[in-house]
Amino acid sequence: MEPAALDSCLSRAEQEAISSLPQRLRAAAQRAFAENSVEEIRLRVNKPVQLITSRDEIMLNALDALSEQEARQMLENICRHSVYAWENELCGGYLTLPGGVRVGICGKPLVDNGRIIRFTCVTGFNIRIAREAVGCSDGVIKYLFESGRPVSTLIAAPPSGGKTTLLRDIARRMSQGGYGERPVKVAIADERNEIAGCVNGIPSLDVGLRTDVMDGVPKRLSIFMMIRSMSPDVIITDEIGGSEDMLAVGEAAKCGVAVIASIHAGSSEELMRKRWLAEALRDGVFFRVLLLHRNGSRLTVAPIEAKRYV
Amino acid sequence: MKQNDMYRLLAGLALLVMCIVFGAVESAKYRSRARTLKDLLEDITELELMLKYERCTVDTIAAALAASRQRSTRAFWTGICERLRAGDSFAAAWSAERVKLFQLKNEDIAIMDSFAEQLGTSDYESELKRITAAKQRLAAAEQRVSADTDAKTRLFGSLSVLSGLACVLLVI
Repeated sequence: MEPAALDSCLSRAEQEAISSLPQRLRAAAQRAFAENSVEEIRLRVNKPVQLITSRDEIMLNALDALSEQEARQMLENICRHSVYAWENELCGGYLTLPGGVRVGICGKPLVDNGRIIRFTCVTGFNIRIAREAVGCSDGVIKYLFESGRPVSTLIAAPPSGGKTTLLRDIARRMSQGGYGERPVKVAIADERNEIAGCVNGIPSLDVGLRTDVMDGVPKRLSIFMMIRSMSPDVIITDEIGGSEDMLAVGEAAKCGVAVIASIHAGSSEELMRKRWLAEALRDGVFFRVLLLHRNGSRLTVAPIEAKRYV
Repeated sequence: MKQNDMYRLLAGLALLVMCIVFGAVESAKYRSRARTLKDLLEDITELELMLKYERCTVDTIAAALAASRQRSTRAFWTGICERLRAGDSFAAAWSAERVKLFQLKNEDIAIMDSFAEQLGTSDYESELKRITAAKQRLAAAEQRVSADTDAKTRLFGSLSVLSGLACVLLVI
């Protein structure tokens, strides 16, 4: 198939991911995307390009490795030739392209007072393609309500476990209703801009009719702002990662707003090893924990009542 | 009056007109350079503010500058916009489009090169430093050219008339 014909088969996120690559790699990537369900593209200087699919990995050994010059150009291209405009995101180690494609970077950062102030060179990219799996929350939605009201729920899974995809579908479903519960006002605190994939503040992925999104702001700020200004029934946020995030979630719970959040953890034991989370679970911040397990493209859920952790 | 004398007189008058036109064109060029420098200085000030307070990307900045109707640099920024939309970097777009600023001299272009060739490739502080330095140099050049404009245009006007008259005398 011609590259133009292949391009029309691809989703917006896939097209964005491919257009961020150096020109010489695009045709091979397009072919791979058309033939496989590619989830990540990994590029490292002087190493062949690696594509991670839902089942396997593909090494593009036939193509030359990424050069330093190409890595520099790729970073500029990803930043729409405006590296200064993405400085905060780059210091956080990632930036998000339209369509919710997250590009993680690594290399040599310049550190001042224990804080990364900029990257002097970027040598590795991990491009993660956001997928809209409409209906993937069908089996989960019943666990998010009690007596017709949404309840605070923590979704735990290892990295690449499908948490963000599930959260996106939960937002869409809760916002639209039609599953036996009334539709609710949803607010998304999208710090990494992965859930809604906003472009200029407008979601590029379907997150529902009654959903408001605050993107690119730390959770602790956006959760407070949205409780005050948007009066949501539910706040959805991705990857809570410390006591500051948990403080904001706790405050939301005190205001009667349910929080549905995700976290990196593969089991209950791993959850309880996070001291700040163990305290929150004991305090009853979350009503329920859902442990996700992924087998290829299939998600299974193990619900655990948070009371169990007390 | 003989026919030859008539031709000489006509040739002399033609030379006089040519000299005056040449002088007017040169004066217009000089005024145009002053105006382009003034407009570029305003553009860079706007660019600096958009970068400083909004962290706008280069395509957004170029689009905003292309939309300013009263400036002589509008066509230049429109060209830059189109190239950025096609995926070029600012440096590539700049080097392709700067020919549209034909009124500028090499020394003015060199000032613009000092920030345009790297715009968008580095961090915020470095960008701001480069823009501020280029703006200062451009402001100095614009002041110098503006101050000279009246004197230079008068000089071009007088010289063209004088040289035209001299040609007439020589021919007659």
